[in-house]
Amino acid sequence: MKVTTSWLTRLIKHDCGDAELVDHFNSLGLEVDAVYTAPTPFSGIVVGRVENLEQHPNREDLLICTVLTDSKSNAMVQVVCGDQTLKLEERVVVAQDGAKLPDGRVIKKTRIHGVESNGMLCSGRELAISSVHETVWRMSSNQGQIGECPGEALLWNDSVLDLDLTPNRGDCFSVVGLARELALVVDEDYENPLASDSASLPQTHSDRVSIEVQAREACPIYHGIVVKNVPQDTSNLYRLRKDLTCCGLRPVNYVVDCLNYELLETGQPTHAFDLEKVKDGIIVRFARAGEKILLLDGTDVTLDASTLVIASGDKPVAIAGVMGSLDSAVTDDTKDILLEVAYFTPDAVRGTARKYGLQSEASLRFERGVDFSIQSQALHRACQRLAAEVPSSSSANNNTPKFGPVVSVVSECHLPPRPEILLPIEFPQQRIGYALDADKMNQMFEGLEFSFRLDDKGWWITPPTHRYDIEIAEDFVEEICRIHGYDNIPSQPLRATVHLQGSKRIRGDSRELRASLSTLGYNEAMTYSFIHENANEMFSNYKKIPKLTNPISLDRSVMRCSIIPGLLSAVAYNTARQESALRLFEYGQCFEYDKSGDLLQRDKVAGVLLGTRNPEGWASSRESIDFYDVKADLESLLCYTKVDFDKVDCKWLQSGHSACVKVKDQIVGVVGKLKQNIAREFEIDQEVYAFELDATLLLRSEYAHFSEFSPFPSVRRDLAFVLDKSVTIREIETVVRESLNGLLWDFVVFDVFGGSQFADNQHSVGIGITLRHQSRTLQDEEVNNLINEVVDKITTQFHAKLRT
Amino acid sequence: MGSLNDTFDRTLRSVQSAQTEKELEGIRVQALGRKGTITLALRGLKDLSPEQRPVEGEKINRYKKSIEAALEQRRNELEAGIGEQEAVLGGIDISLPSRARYKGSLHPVTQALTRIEDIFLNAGYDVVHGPEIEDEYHNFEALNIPAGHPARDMHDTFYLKDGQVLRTHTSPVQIRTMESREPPIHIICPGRVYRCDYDRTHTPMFHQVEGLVVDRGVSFAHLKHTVIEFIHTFFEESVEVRFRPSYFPFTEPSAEVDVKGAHGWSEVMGCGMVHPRVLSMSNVDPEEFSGFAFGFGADRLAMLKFGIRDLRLMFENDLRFLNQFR
Repeated sequence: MKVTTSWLTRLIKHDCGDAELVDHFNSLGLEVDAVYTAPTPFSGIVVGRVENLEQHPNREDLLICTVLTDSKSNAMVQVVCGDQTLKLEERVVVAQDGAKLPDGRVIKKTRIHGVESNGMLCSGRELAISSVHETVWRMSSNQGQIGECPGEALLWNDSVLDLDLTPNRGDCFSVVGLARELALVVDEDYENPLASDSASLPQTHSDRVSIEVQAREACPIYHGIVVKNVPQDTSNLYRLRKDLTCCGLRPVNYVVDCLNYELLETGQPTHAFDLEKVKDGIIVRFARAGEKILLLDGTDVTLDASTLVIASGDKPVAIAGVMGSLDSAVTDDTKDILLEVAYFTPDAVRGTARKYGLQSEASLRFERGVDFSIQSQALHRACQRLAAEVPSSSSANNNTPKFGPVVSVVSECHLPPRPEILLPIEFPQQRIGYALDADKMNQMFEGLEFSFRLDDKGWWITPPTHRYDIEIAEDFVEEICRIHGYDNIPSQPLRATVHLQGSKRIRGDSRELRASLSTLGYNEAMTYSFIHENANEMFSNYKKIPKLTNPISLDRSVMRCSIIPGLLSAVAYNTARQESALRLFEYGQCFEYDKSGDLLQRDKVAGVLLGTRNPEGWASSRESIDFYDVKADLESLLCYTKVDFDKVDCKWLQSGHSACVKVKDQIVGVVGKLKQNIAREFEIDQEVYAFELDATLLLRSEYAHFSEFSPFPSVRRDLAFVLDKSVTIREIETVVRESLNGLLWDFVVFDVFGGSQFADNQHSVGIGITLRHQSRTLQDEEVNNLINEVVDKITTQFHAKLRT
Repeated sequence: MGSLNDTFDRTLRSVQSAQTEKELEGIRVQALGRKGTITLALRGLKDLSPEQRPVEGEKINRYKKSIEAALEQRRNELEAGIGEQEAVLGGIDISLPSRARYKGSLHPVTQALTRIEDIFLNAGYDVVHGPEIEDEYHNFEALNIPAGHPARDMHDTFYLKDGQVLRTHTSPVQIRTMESREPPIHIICPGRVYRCDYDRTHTPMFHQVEGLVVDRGVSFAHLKHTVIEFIHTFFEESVEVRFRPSYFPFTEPSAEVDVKGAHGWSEVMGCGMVHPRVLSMSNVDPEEFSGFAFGFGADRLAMLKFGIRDLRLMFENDLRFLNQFR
């Protein structure tokens, strides 16, 4: 809701500057989003002084004026002008070449009957500050400087407050409503234009349109009046249009502008139908499903049965409280209208505007709740307004609107109830934690126009008809706090019962995983949880996908089943910016429907790596990372538990270069080299390694348990075998472990190499075996025997040769 | 040849100014070696008269001990590295870059969240998490936002096909907690939330932290204190804080909280007293208990804390951005 400070001032006297006004509204809970100087609706217009006047050589009724437009540079402009009353030295308003007038007209250099005219002297009407068009506007000597824009001097110096109103405060969607609120804090009375006028309208004809309200619950009040001979001349609307423009409404025509002005001032939406189009009478009813209406903003709408409409004959002519039809709209040629002033309940309008993607000034107010006590006065005022803005020339010819009788359908039983609500005496203090005296609260309630009585139980309060947000005792507490000022309520430390509890997560929570990965050299990334459907498809194992019905873009239309696609996009983003080595990780929720169609939402932790093993330097080789780098990272990350790696068939990892990660025989994730075609989809042409783990399976909830270690010395033996590459280290280690019967203390692979000295499918593997006995020192001889046994088994089982 | 006295003095001086172990050894040999001056002098004692012998002997032995002590002291000094010249000549270039490893970093939002969680954990609050895909009941109805309520417009919700939504706030976690726990409740609920919005200060995904306290006798004054104390603790300074009345369907009274910065007031938080309807819908008796709730964007606090101007940077994952938060 936008309002000009001058409009507010017309309804409530106050001596606040703009800044103070903003503070008042903010403290009342009516947030001011912005304050700005009302835009001047013209440009290229300056104050000038008439320096020379000559008769036009070809036309008696024209003058050639030379006007000073810059006193420093002595710049002069020659214009041809029709105002014969113009005198030397007079200060005028010059629209220079290229100037834009409030009505949108652009002034251009021209020749008028053979004489060059480089601009125009503006009349009051052209400046939209008066209706006078016959003479040019004169500035008094103390108004503005030569060469300056006369905006401020011409009282275009208004401020606009742009308020961001919360949905519960429908009562503030009007200048009256804002003035009423302001009155609560500036200690001044406001003028309610709806309360002041009661003089009856002069009824000058008896034409009426029948009104039938079928949906009485949805439309408890409907007034209609036929207004004939509505004016079209908008020349008198300059002030009103200025206010409308500042408040964000576009001027349309005489009738619409007058009604919009009243709408902004009182908050009561009204609607004018072209009388011709509603002659058959008005019916307020719910739409028949499939009924169509072409609205005045040009949208074609097919209605459903829950939509309240105004119909005439068999045709809907408006969606009630939202928008009228194009066909029945008032145009510049409309002579006679039916003016509708109705009360539609919030329930009847709520959702309608959204359903059809329509939002109007009317729907905004009806869905939040319009004061249901003001329709008669509002109709009265609207009619007065229609009569008031007629230019004097028209009214002299008796060319004024003519009013007929008001036809009303009112069902009071369907008006919103306003029951008495009890506010217990002690309740405000309990909830606020601070005591305010009763007198002060009484004063607040009066200011809020509550009707109330006080007995020994507390206040019994009936909220006013303009408030829809007061239903329970807590609502009064908010009113009390708000008017007292939130900042004036002292704060108080909270007291609570102390409970002791230990952590159930000993190792592996999100905090530890994040810290470890960052220590391992990974940058933590945060990518969007929604990804492209194609990307999801590459990573998901299930058909059913968590797809958004209203995504922000196609790129972000499916909830991720994996973090990897997001990280790959981040990789591509950075490699496109000359980064060639990256380690990124992310921790977050992933979403997947399992086979039975249940939605799984689980925390995952994932990482991607590419580039060299170490940053470039004198001591580091430029080798690229490989599987064993990522494997090492995961072993460090999960050092608090036993990790195993096993073969895996993963949709997005290259087989033969990937593994599943096992913790205590449970698969917790995968690691390996990303498939090349997937990397290419993300526009990455380097090799990428990646891992993704289910974080919920990485938690360890128990502490380590100490076991006694052997005090006896260990013995190490190194062996090297030539064997088939297909023999895995795991197989060798298993043989060693089983042969050594619990004496194996440590097993290392110190060497793996192939070369021309071996067959193509063979290589050399060097292993270091450390033995230690729990309760005694091992003897050389028994170690030799054990090692011989190991050598025997490996050579026979794997057709290996011991290298000596 | 000068007197033995002079030789002794020279020797001591050269010991003290020796810069290397080798130099010291040379001096030692010259004085105390087989043909050293002191050694020769001691040998020469036998040629002296019996009266002179003990006097000279005592003097020469004193010299010998002094030189030995001086040598020992200087040797220790050199070993302890006081001999800088040697270090410069034979030492390593410590300015040569290390065998560097990649340096990781934690995302600024993570850092802000950790800080926020710690502040509340230290005060005895629990940190509770919940699902990001929610049902409409927990995201809206249970928070007193029925279908068609204009407040739903404030949320710009993402919908999924089967009537589920991406949570627009972490309040559903509060509801789930109230449904499953008896008061007193002191929790915060951090996590990702989603709204259809995208510009310099809005991204369709961001991080929220909501807090909930439900107990007997909880008042608006308690809420104010908690919020102000939190803000001061988070920012490590007594920034000016302002409360403005506002509207949320799930709190009554409701407030927006602004903090004053270099560019005027900026909104950081919404809060209020939990609406009695919200309490009773989640099986908490509003006659017996009252509560307050607050919620704020962790990304927004991170922006203020780290001086980040554009929220979108948070999710671009540009290394030049991430590397600044080590």
